[in-house]
Amino acid sequence: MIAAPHGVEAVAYVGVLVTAAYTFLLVVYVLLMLGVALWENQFRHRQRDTEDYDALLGSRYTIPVSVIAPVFNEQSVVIPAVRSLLRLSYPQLEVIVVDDGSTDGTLDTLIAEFKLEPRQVFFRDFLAARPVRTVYRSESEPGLIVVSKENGGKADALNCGINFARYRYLCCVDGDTVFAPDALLTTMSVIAKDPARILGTASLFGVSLEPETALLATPHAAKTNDHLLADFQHLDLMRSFVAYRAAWSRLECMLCVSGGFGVWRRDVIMEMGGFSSSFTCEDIEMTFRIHEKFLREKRPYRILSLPGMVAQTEGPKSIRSLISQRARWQRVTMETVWDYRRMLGRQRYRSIGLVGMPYYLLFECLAPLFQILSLLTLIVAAVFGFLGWKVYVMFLGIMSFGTAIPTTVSVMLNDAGFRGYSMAALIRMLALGPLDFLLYRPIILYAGLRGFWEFLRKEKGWKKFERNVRKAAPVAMLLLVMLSVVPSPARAQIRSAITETTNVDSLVAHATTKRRLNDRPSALAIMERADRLAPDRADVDALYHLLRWEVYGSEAKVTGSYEAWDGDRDPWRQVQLAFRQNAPNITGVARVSHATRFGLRDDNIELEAYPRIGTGYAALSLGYSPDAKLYARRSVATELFGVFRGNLEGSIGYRRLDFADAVNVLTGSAGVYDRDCLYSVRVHDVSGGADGRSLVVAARRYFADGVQFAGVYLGAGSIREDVRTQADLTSISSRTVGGDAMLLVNGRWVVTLRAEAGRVSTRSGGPVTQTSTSVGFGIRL
Amino acid sequence: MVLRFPADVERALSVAFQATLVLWLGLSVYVVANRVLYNRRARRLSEVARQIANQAHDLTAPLQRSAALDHVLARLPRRVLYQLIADVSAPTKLTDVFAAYALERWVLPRTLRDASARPRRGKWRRISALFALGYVRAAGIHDLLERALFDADAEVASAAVVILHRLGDRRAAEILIAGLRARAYQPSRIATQLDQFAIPIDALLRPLLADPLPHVRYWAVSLLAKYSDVSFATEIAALADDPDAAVRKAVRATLSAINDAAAAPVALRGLDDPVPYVRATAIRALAKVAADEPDSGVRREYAGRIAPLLADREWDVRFAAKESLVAFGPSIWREVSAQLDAPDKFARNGAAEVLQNIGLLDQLIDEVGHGSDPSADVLSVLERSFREGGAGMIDAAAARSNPALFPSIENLLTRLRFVGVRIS
Repeated sequence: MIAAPHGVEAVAYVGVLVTAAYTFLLVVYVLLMLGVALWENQFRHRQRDTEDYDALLGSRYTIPVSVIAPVFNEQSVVIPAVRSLLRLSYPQLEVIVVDDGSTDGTLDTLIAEFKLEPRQVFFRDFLAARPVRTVYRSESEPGLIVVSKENGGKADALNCGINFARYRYLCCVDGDTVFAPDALLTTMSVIAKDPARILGTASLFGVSLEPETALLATPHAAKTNDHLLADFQHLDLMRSFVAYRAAWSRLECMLCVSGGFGVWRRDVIMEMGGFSSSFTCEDIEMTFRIHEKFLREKRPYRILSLPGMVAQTEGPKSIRSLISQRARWQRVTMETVWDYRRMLGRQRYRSIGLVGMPYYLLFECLAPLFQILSLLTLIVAAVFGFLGWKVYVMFLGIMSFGTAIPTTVSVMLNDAGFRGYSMAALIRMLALGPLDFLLYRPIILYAGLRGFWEFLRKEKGWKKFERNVRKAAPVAMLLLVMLSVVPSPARAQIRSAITETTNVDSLVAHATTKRRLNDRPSALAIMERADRLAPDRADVDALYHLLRWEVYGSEAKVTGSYEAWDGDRDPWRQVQLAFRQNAPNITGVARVSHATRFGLRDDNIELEAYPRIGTGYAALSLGYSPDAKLYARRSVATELFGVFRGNLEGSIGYRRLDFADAVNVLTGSAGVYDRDCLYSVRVHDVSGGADGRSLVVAARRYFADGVQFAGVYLGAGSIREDVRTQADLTSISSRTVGGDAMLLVNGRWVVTLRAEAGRVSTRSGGPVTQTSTSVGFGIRL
Repeated sequence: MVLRFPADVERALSVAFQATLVLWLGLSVYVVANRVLYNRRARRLSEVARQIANQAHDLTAPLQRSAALDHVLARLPRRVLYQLIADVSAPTKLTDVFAAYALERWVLPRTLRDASARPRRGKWRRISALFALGYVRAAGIHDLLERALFDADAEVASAAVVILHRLGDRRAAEILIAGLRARAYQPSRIATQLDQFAIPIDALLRPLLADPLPHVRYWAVSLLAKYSDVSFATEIAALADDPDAAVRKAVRATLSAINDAAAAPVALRGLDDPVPYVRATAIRALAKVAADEPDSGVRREYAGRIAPLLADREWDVRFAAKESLVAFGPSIWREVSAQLDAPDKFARNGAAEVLQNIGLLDQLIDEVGHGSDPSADVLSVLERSFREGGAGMIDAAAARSNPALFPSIENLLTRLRFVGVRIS
């Protein structure tokens, strides 16, 4: 414990009190909001069930909508985004894409894809905006208008789009967002119930690294991103929309119709003078402005947030991009709250002044300050011993699981209403809840502090994050570049050439990466496409069948082992029968072993499961020996494996073996792939019954199919690395060298070989030489 | 140490930690278990759907249903069954069986009580009961739905509108029309259902043309547009000068939709209406009539009447005029080009835009580029169009043309006194 300098106690005391008060307020607020959100979500789900969408879709009375999509340097995602807008199931709509002076070929991509032709169009100049360069109409899509203008920011682009809009309702969207076909219909069905009062509506959208593929999931089988950062962002938005915004919507203090997908009544936007470029972002400010004006003038109105997922937007993939984005969000929130501070706490502004604004001030604007104060105070208090580390850890635990509650409730409400996610995705989202506080919140805290600082410095920049690189990016980018520069007859040739050949290679590469990242179901889906495109290619066929086995196949295997020591020591003989069943997200193994030694016979049953977790997996094992003469009576093991950037992989695990005394084994491994070779190191730490550590260094070479291998390993330590029987605990030093291999014959027959030699010293005697061999035969079904 | 936490505070924190952990775990287990249950139920329901789809006879009668089907239905809780009944997206065959079964299981009087219940807490139960009774066409359902339609709760009224549409009989239409008249619920939503009604309801709508309430006349005129029987067209045409602008607008739209002989004269009269949206509708109506008009002279006459509205003070009217004139096609270029000399700037640049969009400019450029010697008239149209359309129009026209024609186009522009224009 470190002696506290004079006065630190008092500061820490105040800090702890402030932290406790802030946390208490937050908890009360969150609980109240969750209660209201439960009510609102249930209402919206039932409302959706009883809505006659077919009638609305076929009706000439359904309100037409102008969709406005500002785009700036969105080359990688603009085509799927615009296509998704054109495919919206809605009786009457127009899509106005405003290119805000892109510098990356976004416009050229649009021109090529939609066969755009320039037109001179005389439009209303109601809202001020930067000059229009050219207006394009599409031959193939009559409902599409593309406006090319000088760069002026998103608000400016939206205002420009509004000048071209012809319908009474505007749907303002982001150009990096891909929409579900029923997005507009479900939103407008709510507005059409009360068009006189409902001025604006937001809807939930998810975060994806590749939004163009995220919406292709079959019903009830939507997946998460399998990317921790993207999934945290996805959960963040879900929590925001499903829990908080739904509650605010019910309490009539919904303060942000986000720019990703917001429907507005055009006359209201015109009355407000359009979106403002004076703020960093336009969406939240417009919502505040409408509230302020309508409440001041005592006009009836509503602004809603709906819980249904309407779109997937591209989220930052790197922490740096995320910080930049969130700092901007923090900055605009502070700008807006500061600008409309007159509404705070004033009864005239009803729930906006009394519920919404206080929330934004306390839990959005000032949150980074309170959070950093809490963190520092608690650390200082723990370091100087005012606060026991145990208490500190408990605080962290309470915060982790406490902050997971809103996430869990949001997932619950979303699933109850839509049943959109697969079971694996659902479990992953639930499991990520408590990690949010530990892994994601610190990033957001830092971004919040940066946004706070930028606000104080009156920065206004946008700092758009770099678009995520698509898996098949090199091919796709090459295609886009070539298509934009070569004359049109050649374009068709290139397009077909790339579709027929290069695409297959790209798909194989994509599938191999997915497999390496342990996403075998996706890899299989990709290879199904590749197999259809190139049915005659042996390598494609082999990978496809391998993946099919890895996702759905099974294997029966028998293995015999023999281990001998010099001198008169009894050999160890073991026969093992194992059955393995693969499923898309989990593999199960049942194993029965029979061993003899010292004239004793013993049996052991083991059940193992390998659930997929993100890019890694867990190994869970339960073992039981009824007689426990050689094996441990009970054994439990768990190990988490992960594959990381830079071809790295690692694991950490724990194993408990119940012999006469319980033996605990902590283990961990790290490995790196270099082309076809895997170099790894594994450590065991054994305690209880006997103490010791061991280290195994291994090199393994995989052959072309990525399944067959041959390898060597060296082991050293004060205890055997592979503890099976109580006798193994008696060793005090162990040195081993061995090799292993696996062969796959005709894609069906499996042969495994293992041979090892070593020197082992035990407590009871000097070093002995040990040799062992193991041969296994299996069949893949 | 001042801040040393007393043991009871530590205990309290420990309890709080355990409580949050248990709460999170409990909620998570609930989510997963709920989903597992849902998946099992969904499998059972898909089996029910399969059985129902495979059965030719009426499964709403108890004796016709198999014991297996009844067994599956019996395992559905009332809440779930009610929710399924009220799910509009579910196939009707399925909801009919669910509704019949629900009525058997919870007997008619209880369902009736649910359907007429007024407390707010039970509104979804009431809606589901209304759906159930509606599917089996229970006696008295119309009265219940009428009460529901006039209920203050918008969701109850909305459900009543949907169920009445599904009933699709004359009495249901009468109730919906009464609701429309009294504005019991959002009129456009009631009209949406009446517009897609299973049986013809023109006989019910026709008397409404003489209704004293303007919005009733408006919806009557508008809804009659889907009926091809033109016997009521005279009555509709008589409303062409209705004091209510919305009615006047609907009259123009409906007469053009049913293609009545009165459509053109009524539309032409509407071009001078003081209300902008009536003028805009009259323009579109006239364009629609013209599209079916075989006589090109008459078409040009109509275009000649619309073209001056390119100078209308309202943007919506000008936009309707531009869009309608483009729909006429290139044959009306003389009527449009006359507006290139109009005193109003909107009329001039609107005419230039129309000439561009009907393809006239592209055609003329193409002809000149291929060596045709254009007449003075043609050159004049091009010159005036480019003058009014500005540099943007020249650039756009050049961009649409064949690059091989660029030198010819530059020559043409020089001839048109656009000196120094370079096309790249």
